[in-house]
Amino acid sequence: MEDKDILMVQETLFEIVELKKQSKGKKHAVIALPDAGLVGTIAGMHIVQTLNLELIGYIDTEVMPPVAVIHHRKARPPIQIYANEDLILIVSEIPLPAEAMRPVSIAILKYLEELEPKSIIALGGSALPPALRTQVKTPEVFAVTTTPEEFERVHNHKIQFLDEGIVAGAYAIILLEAQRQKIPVTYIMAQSFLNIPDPGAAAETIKTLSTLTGITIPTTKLIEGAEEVRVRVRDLMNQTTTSMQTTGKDQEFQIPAFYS
Amino acid sequence: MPKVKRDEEKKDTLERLDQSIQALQRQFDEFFGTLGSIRPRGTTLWDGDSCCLEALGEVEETEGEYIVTLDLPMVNKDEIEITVMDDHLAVQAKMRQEMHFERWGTVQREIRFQSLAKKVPLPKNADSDNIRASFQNGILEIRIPKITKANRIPID
Repeated sequence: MEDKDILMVQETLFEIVELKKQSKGKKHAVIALPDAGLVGTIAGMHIVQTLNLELIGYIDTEVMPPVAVIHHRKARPPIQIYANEDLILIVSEIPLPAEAMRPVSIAILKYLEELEPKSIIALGGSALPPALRTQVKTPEVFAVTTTPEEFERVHNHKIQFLDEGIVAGAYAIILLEAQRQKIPVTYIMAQSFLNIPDPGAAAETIKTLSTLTGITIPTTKLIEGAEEVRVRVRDLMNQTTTSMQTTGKDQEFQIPAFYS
Repeated sequence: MPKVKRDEEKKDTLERLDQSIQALQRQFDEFFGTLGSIRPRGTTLWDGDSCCLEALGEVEETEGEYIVTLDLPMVNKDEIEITVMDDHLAVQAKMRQEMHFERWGTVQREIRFQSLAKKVPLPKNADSDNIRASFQNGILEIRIPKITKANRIPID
């Protein structure tokens, strides 16, 4: 009863606009939100460009700041939905404020669940101390899953899991909510900088996404153009850094108190 | 390793950037906090007049040193200059290729960026004579040793 009330509250706050109706049960879903090293955002931007995804909708909500992004002279809400025949991707062009993380995360999950995707995969960064990240040539990728079936699926692809640790921010809410509702979600995170844009880490999450979905997404251009990407996303990185300070993202460095 | 030089005369070229981040520097007095993350409303990470971007960065502290990591994309090692001032490090770097944005907000003009810069406040216990720096893949790492002065207290 309590859960239903929460969702009803969410429904009053959100408008999910589909500019193009999506078919059910045929696509993999990807969530790419601004987070450590902007890993999800950079990966999402690259996937949109590389696979030539089409803007098919957006999520409008009163819990986000009153911001419209202007592209090609058209105003859009900052949380956008892109798709092609195989993939549907949700990306945000601005950081989620702490107070918006829970309702936005729940709205995204609810929308995707109704589409009955083949899988839901969230992409993000797992921040290392910067001096350590500098030494890491190829960031390692870790997974967290929300159902036993999803665990098996990811395990069969020989992807390593985060056994102990802390996840903070919007992805923490997505994981907890998906687990509660038994929605299969895999969170893929690559070792990354916290406050420096990290295209190298983004490339590693994309490789893992390709492994899990069977969709080929070349990353060569992302690696070759990494320095230019780092210049272009600096302002978003800076805004995201401020946002992460309010959501305890630095807790991810910490050893969980109940380490087992 | 980029050259580290002591030069009190270098202030002119940093003046403009200094004004835009002056308020930020006050909050940096305690050194910690995330580099470039706390800024007063209205300040930006760039200065269009000097075509300069403020470098993003992170700071960490170990027992013996402070480690400052700065993002200097599109920069060659030879184009980085690190200057030790009285109370801060000034980092300037020329980009090997300028970044050009053709449609820029309501200004409706193109904007170009040719360099990156950062002022890093030095904590009081910084050993500024022994600062080391290294540069790899567009990431500048500056290691600032701490001066450790131990006074043994006699027990009566």
